[in-house]
Amino acid sequence: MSYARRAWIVLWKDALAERRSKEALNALFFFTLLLLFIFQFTLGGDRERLTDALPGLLWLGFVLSGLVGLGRAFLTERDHDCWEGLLLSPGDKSAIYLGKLAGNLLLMLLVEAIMLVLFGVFFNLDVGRHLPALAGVVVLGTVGFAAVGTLFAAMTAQVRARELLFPVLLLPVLVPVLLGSVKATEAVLAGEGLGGVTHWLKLLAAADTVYVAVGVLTFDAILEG
Amino acid sequence: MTRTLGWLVVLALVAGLVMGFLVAPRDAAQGNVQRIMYVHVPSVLVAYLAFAVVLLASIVYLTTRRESADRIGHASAEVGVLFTGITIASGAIWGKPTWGTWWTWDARLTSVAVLFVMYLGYLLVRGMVDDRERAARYSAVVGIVAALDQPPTMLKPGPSTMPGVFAATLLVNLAALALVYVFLVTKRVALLRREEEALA
Amino acid sequence: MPDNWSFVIAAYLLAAVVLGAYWRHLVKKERELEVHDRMDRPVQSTQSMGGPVNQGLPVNQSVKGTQPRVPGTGHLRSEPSTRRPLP
Repeated sequence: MSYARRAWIVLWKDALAERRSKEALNALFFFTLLLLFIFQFTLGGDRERLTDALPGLLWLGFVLSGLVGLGRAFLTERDHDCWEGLLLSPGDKSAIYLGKLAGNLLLMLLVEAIMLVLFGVFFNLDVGRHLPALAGVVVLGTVGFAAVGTLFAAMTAQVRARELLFPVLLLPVLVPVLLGSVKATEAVLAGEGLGGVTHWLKLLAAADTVYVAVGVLTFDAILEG
Repeated sequence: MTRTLGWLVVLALVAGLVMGFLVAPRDAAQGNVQRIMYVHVPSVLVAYLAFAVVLLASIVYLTTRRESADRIGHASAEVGVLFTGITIASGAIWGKPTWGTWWTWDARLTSVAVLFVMYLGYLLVRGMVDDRERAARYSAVVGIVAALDQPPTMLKPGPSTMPGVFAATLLVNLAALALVYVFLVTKRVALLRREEEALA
Repeated sequence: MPDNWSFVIAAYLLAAVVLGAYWRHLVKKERELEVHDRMDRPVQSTQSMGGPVNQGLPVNQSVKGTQPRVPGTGHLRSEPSTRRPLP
């Protein structure tokens, strides 16, 4: 069975399971809605301040819902005793990593799209006008997020204090990606286009490549035993 | 051998203190507060050295599974976190009289703070994963990701147009702290080895 | 500019305390392990330690362990030769 096919099977299994139960998607949708309320209650008093903070808030929302979503990435394998199945699968286990990465990426992008719509509605954010550039930035940032997130999720899935260790490990590592993404988003939403932030975009692209490469190379070592 | 190293460390530290307080002149612009730099700058450089060692040790461990590599990585991370903490604290202590504030979120300070938290996470993995071998594998991955994550901003050079005696003082103190690093890591590695044997 | 010697002293003192405390911590753990070792293997001591533990710990840390050690194999667990190294 080819490498690509194995990755595809993992993605397909997760997508199918999610489509049937819609568990993660529903919960995450609800979660993003709640986040919006919290942003409003904590910062909404001053309209100016909220509008200025919107790029940051957007990514704050992405990060928080991403943490919740990624934290569950290997939940089914762990809860239903499928871990041995992963370990015993033949060939290069990094195919599993890529499959999981693709699945997590799709889920996160879907949730982020929903959040963008909600931001558009509730905070009067004109998403449509800058959509191509904005979408590009969001995808770049999310790939990096999902790449490290999937790796660390696999790592912490079997650890005692998983809910604590996962964000503690992930968040510091995400700082460069977060910084670059917010800066680029700021530029896009201010109507400046991507020209001025090319160095941030390059940083994001480089970080994404490095994270995925490290994930592919080390996933085997994570899964062992 | 550790005895000689220990005495060498003491010698180097004394030399560093002599240079820092007796030989180096009072800085014209900042006054004597500038002498904190003889602790702060060598600390951050030794911390980077420590984490570079962690990166190498992690890669070696994942490719060869040699336990000595694991021990070196673990010890180096511990000492590296110590030096990072000293860097942040001494930087803040320097910053208060100089800039009027303990902290500012500029690129370099922020990246050192993030560095600190990252390797605290490394040590947390070591502490929270009970199985020794799994802890070694996981922390090796964390060590690699954390090291690759350091943005190039950290390498931004400081003033290279320093008058000779300042540079010399910095170098002496750097050598002293680097020796302290080697001394502590050696001791920690030996201790790790004994701890494993005691458990076996 | 005022000289702020208190800040300078504070910074140096902090560094000294942090590094010193860590070193003392290592030394303490080493001593604990030596006690542990001696309690486990009282019969095999190749050097006279002055008897059982309750007579106090020797301060000399260059004392070798009670078992002869082969250099280079400080760990007892065997290398996992069955595992595939990273490609």
